[in-house]
Amino acid sequence: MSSLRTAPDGVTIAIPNWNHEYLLPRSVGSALRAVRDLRAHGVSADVLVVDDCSRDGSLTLLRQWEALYFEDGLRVLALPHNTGLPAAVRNEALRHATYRYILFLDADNEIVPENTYHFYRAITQTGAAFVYGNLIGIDQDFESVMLLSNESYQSRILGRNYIDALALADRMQLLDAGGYLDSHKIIAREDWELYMHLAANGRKIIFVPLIMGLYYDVANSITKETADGALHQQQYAFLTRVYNQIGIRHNLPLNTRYLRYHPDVGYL
Amino acid sequence: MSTETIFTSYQPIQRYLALVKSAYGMEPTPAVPIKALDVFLMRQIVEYYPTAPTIIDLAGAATMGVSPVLWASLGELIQHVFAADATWEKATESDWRALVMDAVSAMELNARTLTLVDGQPDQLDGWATLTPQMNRLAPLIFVVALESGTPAEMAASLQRLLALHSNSAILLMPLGPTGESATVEATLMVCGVASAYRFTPMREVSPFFNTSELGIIYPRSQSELPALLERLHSLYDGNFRFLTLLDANIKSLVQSSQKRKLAPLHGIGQNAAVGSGQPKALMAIPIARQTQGRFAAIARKLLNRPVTPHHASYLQFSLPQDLHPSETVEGTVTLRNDDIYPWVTTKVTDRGINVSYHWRTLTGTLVVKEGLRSVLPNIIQPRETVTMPLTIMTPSQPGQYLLDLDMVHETIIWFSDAGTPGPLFQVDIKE
Repeated sequence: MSSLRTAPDGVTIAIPNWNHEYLLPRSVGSALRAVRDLRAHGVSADVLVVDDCSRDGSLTLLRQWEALYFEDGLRVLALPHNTGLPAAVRNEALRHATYRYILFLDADNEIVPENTYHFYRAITQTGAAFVYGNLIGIDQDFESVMLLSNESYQSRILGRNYIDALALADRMQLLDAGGYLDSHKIIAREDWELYMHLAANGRKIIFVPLIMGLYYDVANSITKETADGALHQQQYAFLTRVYNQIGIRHNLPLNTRYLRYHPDVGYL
Repeated sequence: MSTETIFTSYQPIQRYLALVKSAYGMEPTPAVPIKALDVFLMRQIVEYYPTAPTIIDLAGAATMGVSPVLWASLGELIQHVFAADATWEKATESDWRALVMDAVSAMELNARTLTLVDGQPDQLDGWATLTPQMNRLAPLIFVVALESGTPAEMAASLQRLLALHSNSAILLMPLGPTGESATVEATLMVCGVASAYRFTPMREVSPFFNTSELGIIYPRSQSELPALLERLHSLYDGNFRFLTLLDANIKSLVQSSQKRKLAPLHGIGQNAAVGSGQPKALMAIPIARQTQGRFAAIARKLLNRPVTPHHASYLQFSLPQDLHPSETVEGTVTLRNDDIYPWVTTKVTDRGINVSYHWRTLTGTLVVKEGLRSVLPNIIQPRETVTMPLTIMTPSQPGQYLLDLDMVHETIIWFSDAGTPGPLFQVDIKE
């Protein structure tokens, strides 16, 4: 039951979607398998696809699947108007998610279903605002492979983001902190901004050394579209102004610096 | 465009049930639980009505208040809901009527659209008491949850309700399987072929509603409801079918892979090119096929579709040289059954296994889908191999083609769609 007041224990896998009809089988399929795995471990879970007014047939496909897989945990939220902002769509997911913990999965990626339970264990054991793990990055031709999100939260994130949006969050902590900043100034960089915002407010962002998912380098993605040098510079300037205007942030205390945790081992 | 989904329609119900559980410490167990899909369908039916209808809800007791809460949550989509008690039991502090009023308050629903009514509209002067409170211009919908009684008793109840108002419809639940449901039998008694009323189970409106337990009874003369149901059907009638989507994705991947990796070929038993004089094995193109097979397997798994798996190994294949258009020739193929169950020949059953093929252009475009069938000589057990003749008809135009060997589980699935694509051979059809 979605509510800003309550947060039943469990995991909602939130998939923001905008015109990714042909990629949804991969992301939604992996999410439903993760739900099945979580439920097998006694953890309540569901999948919430938030559609930002797609025009490509996504919503019809999602309706069909919701009718077929509602009992398996698939939920669809269709926004009445296109927000055009990933941050706004993620905030809708925060507001409507059923459970306390929310895993953000982009529609063009997929998660490793069997590891989601371990990330859930990590976040419940540590009380973190976010836990994240490794991502296997695959290029458009399925030829080269890279490892992403491979390090703990460090001060160098002030210069460049190296933690993907694919992460598991404590929904109530994010709501209390104001959620994602839904501004066009930082479009496609809202996850970076949120990590710095939470860290600056004393919340914990913890790296778990497990594969969380697969990141596909898809043509014409919003990340590519906003990789233009000038726009990126403006965004960097804005974020620097907010978080590190006089360049001393890296010298300040930070609750979350270098935190690495494995649920079977503890802090590393 | 409607943005309502099963999830959003069911949220008020979910909240109500959570409140009841929280207050009483136990999971609510109504005699007639309403499925999330049916909550959505009822909401959509009401939303698509040309005029906001009046609801007379007789399902409050059986659904433990879920039905009245649903209608109360719809706000301006309805004129008003009268939640009548279908029993004659006196209200208590903890029965569904008290729960509903508490829920309306706790959930901040519009209490002005909900009236609790004592008694039943089709008994004594119940209807006469009710009608002055209703909007005479609004269409009427009865909501009925039949939990017990014989089909004849249920049919009599339905007929009494329909007789009260000429322009009324009944939303009816739960509908069990045909042949096992007294509710369905009762409805068929009321809505026979010669009847003035028509019955549509929602599970017949769309294959995606196949788990629905909701039905609707309405006058045959009413044209708005069939149009409304057609709208619901269209909402779920997408532009493709799942397997076609997979096929399109796979072909696209194969084509892009073939463009890069078509050149090196490897034989599967003999190394001889076509046209050398004797029937000989041809070259296979394993790389592209591996790509196709891998993505087919992944795509199938991702969609979690219940596809019958099939596994076969193509050990050897030969075809005569010197092929011409529209020619029927006979080659030889050796296969191994890698399934865990026997391959039953179509000599035994129409749904057995045959060997066949497809013809494609060199870029993978399908030219001939349904090749001639070659019948297995007998039942082939798991791990058994068979060498058999393979009859092939060549394409009608000369040129270079890919011969795509395949097997088919008749009327069910091609082996290439079920996890085992066959080898590809480049063939030159001469004039």
